[in-house]
Amino acid sequence: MQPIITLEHLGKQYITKRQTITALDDVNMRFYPGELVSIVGPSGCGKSTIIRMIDDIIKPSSGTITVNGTVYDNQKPISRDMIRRLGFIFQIPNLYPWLTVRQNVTLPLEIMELNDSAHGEYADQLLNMIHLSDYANSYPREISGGMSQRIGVIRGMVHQPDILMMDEPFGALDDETREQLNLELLNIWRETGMTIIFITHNVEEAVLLSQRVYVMASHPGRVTADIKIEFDGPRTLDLINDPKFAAYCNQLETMIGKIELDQIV
Amino acid sequence: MKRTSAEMKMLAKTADALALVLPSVVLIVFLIGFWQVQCTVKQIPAWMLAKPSDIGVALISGFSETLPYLISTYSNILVGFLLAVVIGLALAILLTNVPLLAMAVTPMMVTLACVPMVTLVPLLLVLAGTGSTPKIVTIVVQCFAMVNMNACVGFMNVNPQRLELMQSMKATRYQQFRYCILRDAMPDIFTGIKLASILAMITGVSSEMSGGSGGLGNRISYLVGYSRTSEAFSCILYVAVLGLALYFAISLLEKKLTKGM
Repeated sequence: MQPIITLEHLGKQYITKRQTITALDDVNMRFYPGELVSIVGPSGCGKSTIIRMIDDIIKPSSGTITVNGTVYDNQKPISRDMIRRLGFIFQIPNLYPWLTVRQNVTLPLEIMELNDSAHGEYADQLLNMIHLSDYANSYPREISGGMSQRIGVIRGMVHQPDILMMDEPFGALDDETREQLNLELLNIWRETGMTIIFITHNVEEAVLLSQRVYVMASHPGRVTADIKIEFDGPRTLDLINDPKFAAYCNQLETMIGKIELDQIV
Repeated sequence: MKRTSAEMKMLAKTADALALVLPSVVLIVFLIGFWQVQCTVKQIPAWMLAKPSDIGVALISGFSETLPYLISTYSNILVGFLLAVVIGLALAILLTNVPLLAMAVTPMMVTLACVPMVTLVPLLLVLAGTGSTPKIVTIVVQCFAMVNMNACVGFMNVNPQRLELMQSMKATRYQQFRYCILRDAMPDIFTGIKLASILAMITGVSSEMSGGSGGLGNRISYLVGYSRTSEAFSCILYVAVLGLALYFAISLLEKKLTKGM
């Protein structure tokens, strides 16, 4: 199978007056259609930078990004058709306070000029799925943090992208809400068949959700491992009691921990 | 008589509203009463300080005589103020998109905002005659810098995460401005507009006092010159009411445009 996204020799340098900081060094990654892949690593390893490059918010200093056969590098901007195939979900809900909940959800449709009734209906369907239809006309400040984060998530997928990038979307939530949203995300993933790239520093979350995990290290940001996560049964919260779950978590913890220890020594 | 629950609710709402304005009403009544009593007891002559009761009489009896002055002053102020808002906002959009221009213009803006433009009136009278033009020009020059500086602050300090959302959707520059930057800057823009409205009132009336003919400023100078203090006071009250009306109209618009923020 052909990968839907290929990153080759991707690098990012920040040049200041005093020094050149290498944020990312020779990152190579492949994502296959319909995969849910997590990227884990210590803070500052550049995992958020990688998906911002795929989404063309940040330009790479070197290397190429290929999405669905189309190459874009630091010269060529991404096309409007391409951006409609990408969805981006932020670490914070990032809702516009001056828009109602529904207006926030449909904002990408307006920006991307997809304002037809079919997309509008899909927006309502998504609101219904996260049980927030009753709040469609509320303003963001009138709803809770967990609700806001859910809305941020469906806003990122309202234009029905093929590829969804999530930047630690549940990092600021309490454990219970996070687990619930993890399960909702798995449902969405199964129903839509999207390719999802999920950034997190929580290894349990990565193991529960992903089919594959990229482990990264910092200074400079680089990929250190590519680990397949395989379970026999379906992905539910019961997995947490599976000895394999703990083994995967341990393996990832050790890898991230070892990298950090290496740097201290 | 029995009251329905809807009526009771209305009553409760009215009572709440009354309780809200009661402290300020009490204070105003007390101050005016004190003023009245002092004037009466100490027998202060009317040419020195008018009694509130006399001012009240002048407010009503002098209204039809003052109305033409009021209209001419207020229309100058409104025209000048609206022009200043339009020019200030348009220039802010231009400056925040052309950094070189901003570097060239900003020092001048700050200077303009600091100079009392009333001093310009006598000079403008020579240039533009004694009609409305010199007054409107003075108001515009005084006020547009205030609108401009505050709008620039709003446009420059847009929440970076909100802007990043726009970039992730590949919004065009126009879309970024319309959907994000303009809305995010609204509170700052309104700060500038409100300050400009106050400046416009001050500049409008005082420019009439410093030269030319017509308008409330002129009328006040004239009345004071003839020791008609209660009438002069009544004119000042008219100015205050007009200023408040403008300010509240702007506040209402602000509430609408910053809903949810």
